[in-house]
Amino acid sequence: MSNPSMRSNSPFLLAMRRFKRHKLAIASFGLLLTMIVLVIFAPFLEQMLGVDGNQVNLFNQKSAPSAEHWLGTDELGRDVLVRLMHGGRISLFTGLIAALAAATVGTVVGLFAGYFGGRLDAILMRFTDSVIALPLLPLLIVLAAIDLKKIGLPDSVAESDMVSFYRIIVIVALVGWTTVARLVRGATLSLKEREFVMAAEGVGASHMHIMFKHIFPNLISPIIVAVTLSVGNVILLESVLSFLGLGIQPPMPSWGNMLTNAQELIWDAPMLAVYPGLLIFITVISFNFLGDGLQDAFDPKAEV
Amino acid sequence: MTEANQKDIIVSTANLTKTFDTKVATEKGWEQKQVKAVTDISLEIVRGETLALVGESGCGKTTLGRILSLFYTPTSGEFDLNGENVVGLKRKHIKPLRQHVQMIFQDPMSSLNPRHTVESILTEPMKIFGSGNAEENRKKAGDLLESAGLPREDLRKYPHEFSGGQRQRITIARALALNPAFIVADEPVSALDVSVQSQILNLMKDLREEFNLTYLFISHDLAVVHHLADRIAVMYLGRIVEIAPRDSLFEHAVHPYTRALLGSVPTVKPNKGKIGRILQGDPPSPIDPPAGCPFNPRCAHATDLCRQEVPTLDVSRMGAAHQVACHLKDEL
Amino acid sequence: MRRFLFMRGLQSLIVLMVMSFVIYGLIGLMPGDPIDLMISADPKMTAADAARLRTLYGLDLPLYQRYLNWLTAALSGDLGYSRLFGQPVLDVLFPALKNSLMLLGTAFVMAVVIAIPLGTFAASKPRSATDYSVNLLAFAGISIPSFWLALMLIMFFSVSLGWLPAGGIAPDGSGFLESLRYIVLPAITLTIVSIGSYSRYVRSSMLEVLRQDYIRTAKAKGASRMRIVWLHGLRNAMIPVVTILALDFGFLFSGALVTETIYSWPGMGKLIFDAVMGNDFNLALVALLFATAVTLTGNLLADLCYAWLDPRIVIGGDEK
Repeated sequence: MSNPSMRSNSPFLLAMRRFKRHKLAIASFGLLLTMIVLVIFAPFLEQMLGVDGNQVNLFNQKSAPSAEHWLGTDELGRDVLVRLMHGGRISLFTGLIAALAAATVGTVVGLFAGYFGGRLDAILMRFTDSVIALPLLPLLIVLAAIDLKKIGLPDSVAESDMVSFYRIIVIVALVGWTTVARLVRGATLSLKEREFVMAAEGVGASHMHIMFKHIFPNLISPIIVAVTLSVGNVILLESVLSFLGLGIQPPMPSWGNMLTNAQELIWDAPMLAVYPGLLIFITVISFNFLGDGLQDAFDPKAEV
Repeated sequence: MTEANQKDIIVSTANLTKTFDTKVATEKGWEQKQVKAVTDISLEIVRGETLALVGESGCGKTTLGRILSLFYTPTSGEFDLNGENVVGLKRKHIKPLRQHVQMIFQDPMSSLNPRHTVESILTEPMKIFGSGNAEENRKKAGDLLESAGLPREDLRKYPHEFSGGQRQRITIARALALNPAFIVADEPVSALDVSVQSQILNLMKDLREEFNLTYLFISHDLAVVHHLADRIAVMYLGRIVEIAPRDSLFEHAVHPYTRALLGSVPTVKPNKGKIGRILQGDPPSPIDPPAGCPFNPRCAHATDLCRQEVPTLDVSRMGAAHQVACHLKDEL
Repeated sequence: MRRFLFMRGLQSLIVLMVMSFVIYGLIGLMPGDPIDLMISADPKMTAADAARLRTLYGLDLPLYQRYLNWLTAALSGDLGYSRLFGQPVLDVLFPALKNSLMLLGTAFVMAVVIAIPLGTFAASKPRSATDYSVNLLAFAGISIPSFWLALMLIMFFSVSLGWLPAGGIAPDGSGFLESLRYIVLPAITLTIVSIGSYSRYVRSSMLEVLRQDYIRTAKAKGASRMRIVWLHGLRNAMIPVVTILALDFGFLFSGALVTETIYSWPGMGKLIFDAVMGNDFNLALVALLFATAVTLTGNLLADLCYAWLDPRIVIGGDEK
């Protein structure tokens, strides 16, 4: 009985078709995919080349590219290419997780504010506006500089390798949720008016049921766009903090902290200062193009 | 009270009123105003009957429909559903009552969640009320779908795979999921192609027989109403101005507004039954209703009494079942 | 209007107060304890001495009490002493502020002067090669890590070409040209990043305006397209642009932190960083609060611009 000529295309297919028109976005997607694959395979590359990215070799500092070290060595004699790949793993991984963490917080705030409206909405939005109005980087620096032992974390945790990783994610989530919150609130406000929400209420659905089973599934597209657009910013934040020595701590490599000593390196080994930053730049701009393309694909009315 | 015991009354209201607060932009800034969407509605709906509610947009018929299907709480007045009082109940006490009344929505494009399968949409009410396990619910969902004229296999499809008329069938199937006795249909065919409209109306007729349903059929289209209604209530500016059995209304309308509406309905050509603009004056605003009879600014027969006093709904010379709210009902 | 101003001002003040408490607490969580630092500097100090000093400085009091003490002192003008610089905090703050304003002002003006024509140009020819290239440049601007950009500029202009100093500020008493040499690179760094976002804002608000007015006005007046775009469109598009610029000025303040640090430009950003890293509690606290206050003011100004230019919002109605 369903006549094929009367069917409409699924909203997802329509979006994909619009996305394909965005050449830059497609290119970015391809680039990012390649990058992700490469960094995932960093350990294998290490084995293949027979090189250990952490091995310090003070007799071979800042050497030029060679057969053994394709991009040369850094100031401690470590292979640059392998370090870059490991750093990429950390930077990309941190960026994605932190962006997702921030998006989670933002989604909950925006969903509750948009759905319940009234006083809860007003309070949450005032709070959101206040957080937006704070100076980002100085606050992040203070948050990153906190002595974790003073807030009660046991010594073993506070001094572990992974703690800098978790810390970045937490502080980015603490300040980075506001964009998603605003976006989700707006989308929720319009979704709330759709008849299927009233229909759900009509069959006895509770508020939670409506929010999470009806509204949230329809929020996924705008959330994906928001997350993609924010990953770039998060990567920039992580790299700045790592550069300043407050983010990912050495010896764990991140593109940011590979540049920490770059100011001295530019005098005699300039390429060491170029590679990590270039990679950050390429990654961030790709995420931005991708996010832009996705935004156009999912909601062509939003972008002019 | 004795007549009520002889008839099986599903819905009974007395002096039902609903006002909304709104802000209006004026030169002084934003002012709080009240919208009197529905004023002083007293009616009874008998089990098994189809009562049609007609009027222009803004007359309050959708609001009344939403009150009777438990989406809005009345500002004042009484409302009994299946003999139980509904006014003043908290949300969790209203939930069980939802098994008695369901709504069919106007826009088939937005009344189904695009991310849910048909099966999920149909079994949702069953899951919420905890009836049956997954197996039984799926079977019942399939039964409902077939009652609505769609094949059982469509359970696993998504709304965008269906046409408007088919989606409306799904909406109707969902409305039946909790076995309600009373269904409020808010302009169920207005958004559909004319060729599909009659299919859906016939479906609603068949289901009415099969499940002994009571309908409140809201529409602005008198021809559609003629097809399905036992009784018709005409609303204007939040009030019922005339209520009568179908034939009595169409042949012997008393209220000037009803007559104006019918003046645009040639009975021979049912497609032209839309409410037309043969009335003078501006459409009314429920924020500042006129004093006295709500229709008086546009009424050719208006007297001073009409401008001062609101007429009550009372029996006309057509009989006890045919009631009119007009000071001049005996003269016209 | 006055009521709106009052409410927003009050809100900002409340945020500032709350943030002062939060920052006070956070600074207290930084590594190092003033007494411990004193102990390590003076090994002859006994535990009893330390305890006495703690009480003397009120460091054994609960957090809110210490905060209130600080607050009362601060409100009466006593903002404490900077450990790093050996001077009262305010004496350190104001010169840094002056330097920051110099740098930020320069960068801001440069960015605006370039971004407005750029964005307008792109908007006047939507989907053309010009539009796409401007868009590309804008994306590049917002995607580039500012500290890396700074390093690249230093590498090129200082190391390779030797034209400009790699950092620092002109010594006191230098001439105008000499001062210029020091400010060029940091200003350019900030400008490039800002142009990225500004030109996109200008472009999208111009497109909005052009869409609304262009069709009507063009047909009515028969004026040339260029004239419409530049005169009429620009005037109307400036409204949201001005607002956003007011907002961004606050952000520039914190964004300049990294740039100042790399170029060793002695401004507020670098001050905050040095204070936090150097465990100078008093200085860090006041500097951070100052940065917060400036950003909040920028926001308030932006809201005022919105309100002033769009009467519907002033009257205080909701979005619906």
